Amino acid sequence: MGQQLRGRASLWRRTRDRVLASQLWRSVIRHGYPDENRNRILVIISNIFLHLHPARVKRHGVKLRYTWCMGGLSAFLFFVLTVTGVLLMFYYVPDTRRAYQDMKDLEHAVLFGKLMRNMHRWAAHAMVVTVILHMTRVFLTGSYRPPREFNWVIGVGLLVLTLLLSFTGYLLPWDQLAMWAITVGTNMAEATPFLGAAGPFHELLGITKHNDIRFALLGGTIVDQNALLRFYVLHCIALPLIGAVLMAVHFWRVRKDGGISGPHGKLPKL
Amino acid sequence: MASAEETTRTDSAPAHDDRERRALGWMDRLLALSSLGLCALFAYTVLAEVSPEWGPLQREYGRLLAVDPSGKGARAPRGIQQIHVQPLELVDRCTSCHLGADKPRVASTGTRAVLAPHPGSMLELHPPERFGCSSCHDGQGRATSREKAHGREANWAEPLLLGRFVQASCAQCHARASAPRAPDLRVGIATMRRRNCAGCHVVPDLDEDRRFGPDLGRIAEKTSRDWVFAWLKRPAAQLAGARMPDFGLSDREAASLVAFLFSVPPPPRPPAAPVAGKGAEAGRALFSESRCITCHAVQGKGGTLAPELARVGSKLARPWLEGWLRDPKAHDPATIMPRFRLSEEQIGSIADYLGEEFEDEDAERWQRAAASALARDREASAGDGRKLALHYNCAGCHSIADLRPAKIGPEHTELGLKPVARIDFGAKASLPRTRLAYLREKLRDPRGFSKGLRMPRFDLSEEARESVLVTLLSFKDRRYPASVRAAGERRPWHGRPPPGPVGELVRELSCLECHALDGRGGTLAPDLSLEGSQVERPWLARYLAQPTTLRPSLTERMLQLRLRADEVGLLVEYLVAARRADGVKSARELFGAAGAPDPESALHGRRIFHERLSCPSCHATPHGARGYLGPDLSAVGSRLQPGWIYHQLLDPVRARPGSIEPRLGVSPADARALAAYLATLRAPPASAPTETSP
Repeated sequence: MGQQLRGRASLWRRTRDRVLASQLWRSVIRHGYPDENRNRILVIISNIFLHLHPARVKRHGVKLRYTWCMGGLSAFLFFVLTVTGVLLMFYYVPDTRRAYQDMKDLEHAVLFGKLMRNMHRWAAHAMVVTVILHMTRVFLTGSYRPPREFNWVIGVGLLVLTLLLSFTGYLLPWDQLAMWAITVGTNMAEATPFLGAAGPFHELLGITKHNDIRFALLGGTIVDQNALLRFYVLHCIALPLIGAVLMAVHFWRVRKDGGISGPHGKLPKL
Repeated sequence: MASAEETTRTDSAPAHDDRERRALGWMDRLLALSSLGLCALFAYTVLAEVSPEWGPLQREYGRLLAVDPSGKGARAPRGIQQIHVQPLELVDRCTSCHLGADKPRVASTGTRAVLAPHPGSMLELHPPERFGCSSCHDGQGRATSREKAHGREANWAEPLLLGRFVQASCAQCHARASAPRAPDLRVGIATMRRRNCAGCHVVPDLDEDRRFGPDLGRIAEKTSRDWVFAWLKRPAAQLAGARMPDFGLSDREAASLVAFLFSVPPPPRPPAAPVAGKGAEAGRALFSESRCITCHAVQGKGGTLAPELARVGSKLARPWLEGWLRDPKAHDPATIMPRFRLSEEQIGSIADYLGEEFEDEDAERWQRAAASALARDREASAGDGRKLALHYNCAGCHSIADLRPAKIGPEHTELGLKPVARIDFGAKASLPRTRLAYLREKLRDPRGFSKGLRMPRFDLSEEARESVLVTLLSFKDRRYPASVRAAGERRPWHGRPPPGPVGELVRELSCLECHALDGRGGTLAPDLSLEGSQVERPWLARYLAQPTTLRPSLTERMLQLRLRADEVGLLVEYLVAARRADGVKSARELFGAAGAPDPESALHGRRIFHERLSCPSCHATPHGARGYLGPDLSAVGSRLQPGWIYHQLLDPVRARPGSIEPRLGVSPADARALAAYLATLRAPPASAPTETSP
């Protein structure tokens, strides 16, 4: 009995040692268990996914009452939106004859389609809210001041992208609300100075309704198939891609500018 | 425990850190609670997703199928069921719950309506794989939950149609006026045409350019101010079945309109001496002989094409009546009344009869009321009246002076899709917020919603109102492809007279108000498209000169127009030469070289007629048959060509669409024998057919 146990234990130990010593294992798990400071830092900085996060977090960095965690939530919601959005793309065709029906099918016939659509929609609304709250926090804590002024500018760009994603996604269900919301929105664009056919000074650039900013948005002069396709491509490819790049810069700058701003930072007290 | 931890803390944390830790403890709880809430929400979502509403129904149907002897071996469907109709771009998932709808009845389902087969035989005519469900019933075909599938969702434009309202969908493919199996649609559009909704609204199917009310140019010559006043105040009280609606005019307004109407100078008229008749008795005979009640009703008995005459004696001025009877279309080019070829004396007699026998017992009452109101409202001016006539668009129905008709009401083209959000319920806030409830109330009380509305009240019966509602809901166009639409005219009642002098005569006699040519025209009398192949020429000539009773059961009979011989000749020539059917055998082709039936086969036919088939229940013959629903066949050999009789017996419905004659499955040999028998039933040559007394 005891002999057998010992034999089994030694078999387990021998197998474990062999696996841990194998080249395959060591090529993936390069630094062993992160049980001491050096190892922890090595694990973080040698991993593409983990290195975005600092190896050490300042004590104030986890204080919810200071950061509201709104930046992190915005990033998380962007992730949720990407996952649900990709799943929705499997069922949705940006064709004026099909778009509305596809949305109805997602709601009624696709397994968990309704969940995906609702998650996508609510996360989109929530992301607009969290991005704005994030900005409010950054403003109120004065975190936009040097050395973070460049990151503030990137953040403003991300806010605009968030709003544009929200706007372009609004057309995709192709229902009355979508149709008229985009009609109103693009009519506002038409009133842009210089670039809109109904805006002031448009005649200086020879802008008509066939070459103005509204035409560029809609791919025509009415909300129709071209507009749907344009908004779809912008919503699913162009804007998320630009957003991802800007976010990478944004996170990078957070690290480079001294980590999450905090109450005990180097900033002079107001 | 927390306090113990605090006391054992060794680092020199400031005091506010402790407060923060307590606050975090509170936030931890909030986080835990909201996480639990989120988990519960997620669990609910997953549960709702995996236990849809159709699940229990499909299991129940499966159990019922298992116990049903006829359903042995059949398996209930599992999962979402759908019918996809490519040409209509339809996806209907209705059969996920309505599992038996397109299958034979399963006895064990009992009274479970949701599992029952579709009632009636409609699915045989409209197979679901070609038409789906929502093409007729509306609702949201793609949805898979009860409320949403039935379209009871905010802003869903087409909620489920039930009962008679399903007929509203027939108009997507069928002409409203002739849609089979849609009586409400037929009655509804006929009612809307009769009440001339198109006078003020743009109405699909009623876009013809035709005025429905009388020409008011000669109103001053036609009747009295008192009568016009009483009529304007309440048309239905003056005339049973009045087509004019009630405009709810005040005394002052009615008086102004009277002043305006009587201020319009009548067009010049050829002078005509007053004529003397031979009295009311002679007039009565002429009235019944001319079959006036085919179009006019007298105390509710008679046709509906023209106004009721019961009180006409107290309304019309004698000189006008004489002029009208002489030539109605000279008075009002749009009237459908034909010119009866009457002598001056006959005109006088009829005028005598109408004047004496059609007195209005109430005349004194309304005359007194009108006279006093007109005397009271001395200030009523023709100018105000003209403004009112413009305001209420009187010219939409009548021709008055220089007034132009205008479509002052909203367009009806897309009424069946009008969003509820765009309907103004105004003062009627308690109404259910549905399109149907609004339209029903609008027809009942058109001006109750807010001030300043112009639509008059039409006093429709409950039944007629529901039919009109069905028709109103049918006003939408899903633009189905022609491949599924039923062929047919959108406005089949709008007759097209043939070209040339015959056409002139047909137009003058308004033949196509009752008869149809090529499927267009009236429905009161037979379609004459193939008359030349149907009847014997001598009979037709005799009939046009002196119509006889063919169907004793009908009130409406051919008018006695007293046509001249050359006019009869013209009509006969046209019908015999131009109105022929293909594939109808001649007498020679049917009976051999002799062209006449041999007695033996006639006898055989007589036996088939009276003994084997059910002909005597509807037709009358000299050999004992006494039916009266169908035409009297006592002298049918003189009337119909044997080839046509044979043709019609083989397939009555194909020969005459809409015929009520049953398809008895008569073999060609039997049809030949029957034709031979019927061809021998000839009128006695000596006596000309005479009108049976009504």
